[in-house]
Amino acid sequence: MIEVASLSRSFADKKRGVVHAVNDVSFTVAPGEIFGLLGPNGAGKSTCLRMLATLLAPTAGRASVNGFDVQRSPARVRESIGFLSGDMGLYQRMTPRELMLFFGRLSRVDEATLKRRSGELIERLAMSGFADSRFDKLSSGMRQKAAIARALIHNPPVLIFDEPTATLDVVTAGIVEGFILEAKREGRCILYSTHIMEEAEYLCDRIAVINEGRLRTTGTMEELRAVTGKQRLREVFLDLLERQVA
Amino acid sequence: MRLSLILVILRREVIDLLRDRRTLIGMVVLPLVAFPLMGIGVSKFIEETGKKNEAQATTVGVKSLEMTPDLQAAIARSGMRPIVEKDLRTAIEQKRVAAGIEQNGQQIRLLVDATRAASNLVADRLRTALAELKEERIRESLAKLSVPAAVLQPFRVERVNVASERKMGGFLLGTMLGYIVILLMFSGGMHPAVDMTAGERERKTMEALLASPASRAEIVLAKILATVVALYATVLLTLGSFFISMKSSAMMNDAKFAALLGNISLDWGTLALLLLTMFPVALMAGALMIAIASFARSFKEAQSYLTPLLLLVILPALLGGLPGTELSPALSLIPIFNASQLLKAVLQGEFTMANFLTTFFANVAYAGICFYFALRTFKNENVMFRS
Repeated sequence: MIEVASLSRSFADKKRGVVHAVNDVSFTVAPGEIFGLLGPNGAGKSTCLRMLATLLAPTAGRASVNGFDVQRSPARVRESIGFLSGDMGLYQRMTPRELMLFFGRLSRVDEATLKRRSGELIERLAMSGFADSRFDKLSSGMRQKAAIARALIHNPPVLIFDEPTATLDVVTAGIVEGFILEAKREGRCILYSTHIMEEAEYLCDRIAVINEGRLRTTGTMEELRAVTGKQRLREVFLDLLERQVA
Repeated sequence: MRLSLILVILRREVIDLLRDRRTLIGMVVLPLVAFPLMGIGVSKFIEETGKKNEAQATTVGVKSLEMTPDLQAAIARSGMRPIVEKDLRTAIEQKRVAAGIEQNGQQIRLLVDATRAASNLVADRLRTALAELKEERIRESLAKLSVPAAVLQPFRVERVNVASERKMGGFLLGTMLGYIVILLMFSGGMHPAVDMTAGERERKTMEALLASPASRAEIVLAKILATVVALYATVLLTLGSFFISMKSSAMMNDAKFAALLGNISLDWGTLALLLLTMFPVALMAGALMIAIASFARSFKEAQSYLTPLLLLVILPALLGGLPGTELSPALSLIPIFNASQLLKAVLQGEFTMANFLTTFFANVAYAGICFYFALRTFKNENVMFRS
């Protein structure tokens, strides 16, 4: 469902010269799988996800999402994904219902389906109390629910989440996590970037550790424990980073 | 490009604009009140200044009340009240008298403060009275010599203004109309353009839009069109307000002004031509503003980029309306100036189809160039994702 092969992205920086934000990264994510992308700040997670969302063009390598090449069929890729980032804003003068309808129409969902689906999402995410209130009057938890609904309105087979709980409180983060697990049960392919270890351990089927643009290791939690001899993901993660330094 | 997606984004942007109070003030309120306020303001100003000048133009300073009969007659004829002042210059400067008059033999001298309307008014009245008196004395002398008074006037000179009243009105109004319409249009579109680009980036809503199935070209075109909606709404309201003001505002209280304005054609054809002239200018302005504002990281930065643009627009808009400049095929290629000129020409009822078409298509071409730059900005990852 997501295939990434030797994907690279570099850019020129006046002070640092050529910076390899993502360097020769490869992985695959299957339908019904949550694939976690872990790394410290500046590791290259967001750049990698932005390339898969066709927001940034790769400088080398290739990637496909839902069978569509990110460079040759960017519009088809964007139709196939629900992209959500933790620091994404919402239109202050719109309501959650209007937001869903807007993004649904951009994905060319027909009006009848759109109405039905937005109603379902409002119900599932318990948004009926604020679905018609403007975002500037909503709490962060309400907003994040609406953001999830926006990402799912066109029923995408692939979800790309970039630190969606980074700015949320525990309760709201729990709502997001619950929804991600539900999306997995529905058979969606989920690429999940985070630096919250507990969350990754709880949600992800497989985890990849990325640092300085390079993918250091990939595996299930058991496989990573076997490699490092550590139990908790935090320890596994730090161990992998230390090995890299050594 | 998919029209349906462009329309979806355009609709959202327009609804968003209509929900934004700041945009509404620039787009609706200002254009609606500009002309009526200006009309009332100008009319009141003229009326009040006239009254004030009339009230002040009643006295003339003289060195002594013992004057020659001619001078006494001239002062009496002008309706001024003579006031004795030793130092006439100081008396005029200190506004104790509006003007002064003194005689030294055959020489009569009028002392006037040319910067004061009341002083000029008194001097004009005295000069007229003196000229009439002078002519009477000459006629009397000629009569004593049995010379016919006709020798004084071997021929008559008459100056005839061949410009139609419509042209005169267009001349006066064209000078200010282009400037005001263009300036209000640009200021009305500034906030929407900033809000849809730098504002959206600042609020972090841009990334979700860019990750939607809409292409960059579709997004940028929709944003340009939404800005054009704001710009053109400003033009529509400004011109509408202008036409209504001309017909019914306080401007009409002034007889001279009403005579000039009253014959300006207020037909649909003139209005349609004015609107048609402004359409490609709005397209160009929308694309240019989106292109410039897209470079900015924040709302404030975008405003600081667009404010100089407003200043750049003022000069050609003003020059285009100035008397003495006329549209030629070459001048029709200068953006803003050409529109300001054409607005004046349309009001005067004097424009050629060649100039109209050159101006129209030149501005369409400029709009295309600006769209290209706006698209390039939106496709530039370094610009769109810089922080």
